[in-house]
Amino acid sequence: MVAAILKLTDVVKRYGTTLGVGPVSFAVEEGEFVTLLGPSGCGKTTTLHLIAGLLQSNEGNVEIGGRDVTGVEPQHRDIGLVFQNYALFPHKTVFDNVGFGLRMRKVPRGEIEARVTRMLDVVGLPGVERRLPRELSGGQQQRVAVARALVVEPKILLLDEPLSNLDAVLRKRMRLEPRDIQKRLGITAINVTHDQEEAFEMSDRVVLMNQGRIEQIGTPEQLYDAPASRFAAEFIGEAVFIDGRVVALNGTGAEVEASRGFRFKGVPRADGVKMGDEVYLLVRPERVEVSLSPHDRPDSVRATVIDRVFSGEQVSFIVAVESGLKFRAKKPSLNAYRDVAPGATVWVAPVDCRMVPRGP
Amino acid sequence: MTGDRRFGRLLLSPITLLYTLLLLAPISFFLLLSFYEYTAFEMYRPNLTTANYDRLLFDPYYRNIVYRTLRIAATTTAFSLLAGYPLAYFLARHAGAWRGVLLFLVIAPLMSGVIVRTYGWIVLLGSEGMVNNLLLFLRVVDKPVQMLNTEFAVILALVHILMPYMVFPLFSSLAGQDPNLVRAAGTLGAGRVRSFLEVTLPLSRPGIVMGSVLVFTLSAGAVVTPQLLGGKDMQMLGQTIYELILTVLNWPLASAVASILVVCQFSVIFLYFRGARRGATA
Amino acid sequence: MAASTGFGRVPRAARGAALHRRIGTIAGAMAVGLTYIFLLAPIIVVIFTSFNPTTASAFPPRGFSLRWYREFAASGSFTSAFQFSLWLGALAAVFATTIGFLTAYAARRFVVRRRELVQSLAMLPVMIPHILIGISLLVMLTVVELPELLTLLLGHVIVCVPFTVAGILASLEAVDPGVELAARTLGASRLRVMWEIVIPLIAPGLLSSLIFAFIISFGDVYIALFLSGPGMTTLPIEIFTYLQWESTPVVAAITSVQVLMIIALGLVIERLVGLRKIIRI
Repeated sequence: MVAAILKLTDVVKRYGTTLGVGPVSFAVEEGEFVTLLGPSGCGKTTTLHLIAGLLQSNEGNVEIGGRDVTGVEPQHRDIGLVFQNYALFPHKTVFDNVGFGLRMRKVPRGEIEARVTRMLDVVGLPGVERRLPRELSGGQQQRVAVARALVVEPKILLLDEPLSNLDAVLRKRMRLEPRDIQKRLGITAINVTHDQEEAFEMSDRVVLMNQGRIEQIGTPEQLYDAPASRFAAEFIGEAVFIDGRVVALNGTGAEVEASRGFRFKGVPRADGVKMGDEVYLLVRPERVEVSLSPHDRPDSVRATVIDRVFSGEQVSFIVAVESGLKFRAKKPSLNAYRDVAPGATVWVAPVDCRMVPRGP
Repeated sequence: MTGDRRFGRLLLSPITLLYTLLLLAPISFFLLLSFYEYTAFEMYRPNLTTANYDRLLFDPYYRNIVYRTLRIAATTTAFSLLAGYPLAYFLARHAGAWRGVLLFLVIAPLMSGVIVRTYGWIVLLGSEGMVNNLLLFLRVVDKPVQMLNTEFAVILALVHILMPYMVFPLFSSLAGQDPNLVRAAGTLGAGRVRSFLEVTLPLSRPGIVMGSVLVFTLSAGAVVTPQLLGGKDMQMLGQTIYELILTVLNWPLASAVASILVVCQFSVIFLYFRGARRGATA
Repeated sequence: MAASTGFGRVPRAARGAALHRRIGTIAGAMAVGLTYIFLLAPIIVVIFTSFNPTTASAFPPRGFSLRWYREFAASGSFTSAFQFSLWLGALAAVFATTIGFLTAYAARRFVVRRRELVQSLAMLPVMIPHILIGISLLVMLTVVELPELLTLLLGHVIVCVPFTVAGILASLEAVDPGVELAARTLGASRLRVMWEIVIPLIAPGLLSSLIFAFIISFGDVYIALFLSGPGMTTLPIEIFTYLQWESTPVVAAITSVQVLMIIALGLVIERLVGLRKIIRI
């Protein structure tokens, strides 16, 4: 078991009387890349600032590297923070920006020079020491910001939506960069983003937040395959919900009847679900099989195509089964699906459906 | 952060010390003198009395000065608004590329100080000044008109000196308005005058209030301008206080006069802001 | 039907509206022009008068001479008052800018919830008649033993502070708070951030504030009216006293020099940050 390098215990942040965040508890292991994911206003940036000490919690405590840092000022927390807009000092050169933290730590001049040069090499920006931040491109500024945060060898690297200021193309290309640097240096990183795809590609684990609370913590696979709530399912990937009731139970599976009498068989049983419970049935459109013949799958049922939307890589169908229940199916736009037009008859089979307990 | 609050308080301590020790405390003490007894030897004696106020309220000499001050301040405010509004409107809406220069030309006189501008009016309004020479040249008059030492001169100079204080708040409130509002009123069928009266003017109310309060306050407390342009017969409250302090040496009475000035000003401020609030909620 | 009758009318109505608009525009331009003449005439007249060869403050001047400038340079009382005002203004500017910076920075970053309150309290001296401030300080001197020069200086600082606070607040608005937080996470204390990050970033604003405070102090009458004394008379008070007895163009010469200096300083501010920012009351 690796020691937790960061531990939040029941942290609460209030603004006046309104609740900002909490109670929030989670732990991060050394060397992990963890992302706080959630819609805007969910408290993810507040949580990051609580870790950095830029905000002080009203309750609970924060431990970094086994030391309780609750109430400790940010300059004594041993963290590195990369800001959303990078927050480079506009009046200082790249060298002075990156060297700032070392200077604050009273590192001798010669060593500062060596370490800044080395760190600029690590982030792939050698030779820009004398330039001012505004003379660099957005992507280069981001790397300087990362270098500035890392050069002091912090216990944890905090990233506040580091990619959000880049344009769409650069953003996709830069996505793996922070993670790459992080893995190479073997440092722990906490990232904040509202972009699910970005979070999944970068992180070992994801902390999904909503309205100041944690909805679910897990690996990207866990979050995608077994969302703990309707919010989790909707925020991650595409999701269609169907109201249903549990009508049969066996060891690990269940049979769920949708409102129109359509029965889903072999749905994995969620914890604590009993006979007769009302549940949501999560159907991922990309997991609905569509075929032109009834013989491809034994569990498929006859349906009529109502609409078809072509979006390049993929093509989506709205289909209605005989009981009147409608699904969305999303398929790669291969030739096989090109000719399926509204009105056509197809055979569909929703596979890998999930039961999501209905909240109170 | 609690550290933030402590640091903030530290940063605010110089201004707090300065204002409490050298602004609020002295002013409170000075105004307190109005309730003290006047004696020729010690200047004031800490015996509480209303004698100073009695004298002010029942002596027609002082009553006249109060009326004159209020009249001059109100007239100055009205004319500053009348002249300043078109200017501010022009600067906010139509000045274009010249805006910087034109604003500078409004600020420059303000920065040159009260004395410089008052002196300018002495030169302009004197019997050999430009205004008289112009009037003589145009044969409007056949001998120089007495303009110095009149209420007219005082008001004219005060409007001139204080107009920037009217223009800036007006400019801010007009420049802050979304120009699309007037365009929207236009598309809805309102003419220029109509959309000015119904959109621009009501929205510039905070600027009008702020500017008027500033001009009224500053003109009611003026000393230098009325002293040099109005002379002894046109005395205003500020001059009375000045004389009582430095020449007559009756500080308790000066304090009572100052209190009246302060009361007048605060009631104007209060009425204005109440009016402004009512306007905003209506 | 309706459309066709309307069609015939539109051009005339439009022509009428266009004419109205043009008249309105011309009237507006004239009003603005006259206002500018009104605002600038007294100052321009003073400058012309300063070159007048005769004793009378007459306009238009009858000839050209530098006589009054020579007289100004030769008069000990005016030159020493000018020097005294320069020194006083410079000192008051330094104090007022320092206090203004500390106040504005606190209001902007550290007392966020009470910011409005702090800002309006800082504006207090603008709301109080300056004559009252001057008198109160004079009266205070009879109770508290304070050097008169120091009191005069602090009086000037008080009347300058509202403007330095307002101007520096405007400059601080352009500073990204993230930059300060970044410095904090990198190990800098609040004091360090203030010194190394904030002050360099708003240096033009601070310089403008210094100049503006100097200008205000230099033009002040109401504080100095009560706190001037032998050897510490400011220029405006010297002129005011002089004007009560006589009015020769030597005053025009002095004020011309003053106006020139102030316009030059004003242009420096305009270049640094734009005067608009400073004047926002």
